[in-house]
Amino acid sequence: MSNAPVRPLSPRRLAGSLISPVALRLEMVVLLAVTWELVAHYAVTRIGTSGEPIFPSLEYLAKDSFLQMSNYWSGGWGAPSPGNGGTQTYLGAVLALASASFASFGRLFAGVGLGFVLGVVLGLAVSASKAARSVLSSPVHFLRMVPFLALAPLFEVWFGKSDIGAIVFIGYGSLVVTFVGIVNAVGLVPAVQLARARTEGATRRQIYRWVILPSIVPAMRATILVIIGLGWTLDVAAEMLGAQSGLGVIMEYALRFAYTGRVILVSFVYLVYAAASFYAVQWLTGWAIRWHPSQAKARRRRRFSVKPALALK
Amino acid sequence: MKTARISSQKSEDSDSSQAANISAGRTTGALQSLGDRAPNADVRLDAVSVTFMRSNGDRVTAIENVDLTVKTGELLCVIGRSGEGKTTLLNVVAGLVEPSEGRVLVGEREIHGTGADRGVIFQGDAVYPWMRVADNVGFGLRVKGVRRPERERVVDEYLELVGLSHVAKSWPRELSGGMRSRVAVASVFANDPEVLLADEPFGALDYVTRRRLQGVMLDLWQRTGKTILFVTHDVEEALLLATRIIVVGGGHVLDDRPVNLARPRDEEVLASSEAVETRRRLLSYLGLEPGAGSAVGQTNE
Amino acid sequence: MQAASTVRAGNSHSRVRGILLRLAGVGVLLGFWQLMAVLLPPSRLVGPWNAVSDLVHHYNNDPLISFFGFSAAGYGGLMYFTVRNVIVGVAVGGLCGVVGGVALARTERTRAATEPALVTLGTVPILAVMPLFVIWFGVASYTSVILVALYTTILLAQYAMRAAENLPPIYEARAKTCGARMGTRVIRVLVPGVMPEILGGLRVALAFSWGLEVFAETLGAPSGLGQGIQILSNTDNVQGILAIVLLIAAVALLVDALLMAAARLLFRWR
Ligand SMILES: Nc1ncnc2c1ncn2[C@@H]1O[C@H](COP(=O)(O)OP(=O)(O)O)[C@@H](O)[C@H]1O
Ligand SMILES: [Mg+2]
Repeated sequence: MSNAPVRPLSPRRLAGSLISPVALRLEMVVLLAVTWELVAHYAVTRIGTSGEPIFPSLEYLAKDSFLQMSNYWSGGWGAPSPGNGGTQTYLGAVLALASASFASFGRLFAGVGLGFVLGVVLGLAVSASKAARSVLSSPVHFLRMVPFLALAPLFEVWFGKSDIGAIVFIGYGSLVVTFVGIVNAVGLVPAVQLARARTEGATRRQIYRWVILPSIVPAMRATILVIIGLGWTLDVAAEMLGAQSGLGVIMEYALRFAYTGRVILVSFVYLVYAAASFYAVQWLTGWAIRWHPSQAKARRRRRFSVKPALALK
Repeated sequence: MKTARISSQKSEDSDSSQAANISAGRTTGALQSLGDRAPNADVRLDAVSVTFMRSNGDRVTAIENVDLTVKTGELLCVIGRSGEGKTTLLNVVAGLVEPSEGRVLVGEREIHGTGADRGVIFQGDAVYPWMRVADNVGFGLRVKGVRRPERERVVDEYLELVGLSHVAKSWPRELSGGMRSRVAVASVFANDPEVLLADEPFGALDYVTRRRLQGVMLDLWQRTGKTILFVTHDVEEALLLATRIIVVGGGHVLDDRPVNLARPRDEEVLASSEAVETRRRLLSYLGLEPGAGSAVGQTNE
Repeated sequence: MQAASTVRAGNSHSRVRGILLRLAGVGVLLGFWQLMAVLLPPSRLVGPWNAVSDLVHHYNNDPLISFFGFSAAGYGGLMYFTVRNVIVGVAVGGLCGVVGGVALARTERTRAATEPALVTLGTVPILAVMPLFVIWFGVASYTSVILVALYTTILLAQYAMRAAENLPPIYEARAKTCGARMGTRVIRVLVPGVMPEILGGLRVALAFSWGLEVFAETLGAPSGLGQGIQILSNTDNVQGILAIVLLIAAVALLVDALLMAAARLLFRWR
């Protein structure tokens, strides 16, 4: 309100603004950073076998470790390759990280996209027939219980250390999760909503298009958010076990020589990418469920919290 | 004996004559008066029985050998205690449940499965949350392939009639329970069925809202002259609405009587000796002695 | 899919049919596997029967595994390590997560401060910090336990927080009006109220932890099925890998079934 009276900043109001939800979130971040720095400078100051601190401080990560990323740049675009005798440059570091990120994101989106589309199509097809659902229920339950991560070496045997292998691996996990989610969601469409469509004369196709599909949109969105998280995990696994490019490859090299700083830096990058893609997808798909009753409440609460996405359901 | 199954057959509206009839003939004119409606929309149940199989293997006969004819334009109220077969009776007519024995006719046709000629206002909330109010009301027309301009015209008309024009573009979650019920009522009337079936549609609403919706329902019935089967557990609601009341109990029609009270049925009419007598009989069928409100504990049921 | 959800077609006829269809499903899976095994060379895939017999033969003794000097001599010993780590990790993490989540949910401010952090943590691939743990804690048996426990803590704290939030406040209010003290309210109302939802989280955590543990083991561990897979894949022994994957799946299914059975006993009121 523009004509609200301007109140003086009383100590009480100052205290209040310090514990407002947004402030609290910022304070959490600051608290974490300060704790990290204290640990790095005073608690764990040991130097590891690689000559790097075991618990590097944030400024070490930002300066030294980041610069060392240029070691993974193979030259070109105006940045020399340190591997071939060039100097370490910040440009090289940025380029190395960018090209690795590009490879990782490409695999992730290809795999998750493929798995999701196939999962939705198969899930809807199977939902249409009770017999098909019965036949597939036990195999799918079994596949769901075979830990995806334990399968990584198999995919490596099948597809070699290739991009295709990583994409199929990510796609497989996304497919199974999506399929289960879709079949489940279709089963949960309230009977009365289907009955209404029938009494209004809708054909089977019309029911699918206008009743079943829209009513499972929230479940689809939840599924996408879950498989984004799962996809990143499988991506890390695939890249660490064997890939020619990507963040995981850098991580694997760094781990082999116990370059703590670089391992932590790449972990951070992964964490940031995963969280960012999660929130981006959540934001981008929000409009698709704007009709949902939960949205009224969510809108009221948005100031206070983000909706929890329970990962890997 | 066959056991009933919830019919999963698709609707039988293969003849597109309905669609034609709706888009062409059906205008505001259709809303005018009883006299215009010539088509025979009598509902006839012919020795209908429905037996369910419970999951523990027990058989339950929800309705047994029922013969019933509902004349075109009648507003028949079905009352009865809970679990006595009211919903089943309605679902058989709707085509949601196939009779184990006997047959159901609308006009001269025997019906199988659901069809847009019989509209249902459901006991639960069947308003689609992902469609705005106007789209909800226009759903049946869209199913029939009615073009958008015509659809919008009809939807506007019915939203106006139930007093919801101002929320046409809202999401159902933004409405109160009573408003959602009005959406359900408008949806069914907009679809212009021959027969309208309502299963305790206002059961979950507060008294004032219920009274207002009963008014809306009566108004639409008087304008359109539809055949209506209205299930309720509320004797007062039946007295207010019905041209005829049947009592269902144990799967049978226990009582069947016309209600010739004058309209509008205000307090005076509902206090007339005829109304009092009807109420007394209905209540005794439900196992309640009239005037025994202070002795609830003494009733046998 | 239609209104059928209101009806249980429960006669014995359809029940038999359902069982037959399920069996057919198992047949379809095995048949598909066998078919692919016939089409692909044994260096890529072997049939289910070969995998199972490999499992049986090497359960107690596998020369390769003994050669690498693990305390375990066969798959069975490796499995013991993995199962122990997962159960300890999930139990410790579950306890921390539930207690922490419920406690944090009790006041609006702590929830507002911690929930976004938890949600964000829940979205990230926890696997990415495993290399760090390997550096910090070395190739020890508890390194992967820490990873599993951390993952479970984050997940269950979210579940617990949401469960406590979803519990209708009137439940606790009613207990209060009956004069119940804080301790009674927590034990009699809050904990039973949130438990069913938490159980769902526990199942998810458990299911994912098997993979997490096994993958962590492949990165470095003194024993475990993950190390077994690592050794076998170094020698391109597909049959052995498949046998171990089957073993993991069987254990995961069994533990999940036990958890569900326990839950059915505990939550009969549901
Ligand atoms: N789908 C069904 N499966 C098994 N029994 C049913 C089913 N539907 C109704 N019944 C049984 O039929 C009887 C009548 O039910 P219903 O018609 O719903 O009663 P009302 O609507 O009068 O309360 C009840 O005993 C009920 O248990
Ligand atoms: Mg009923």
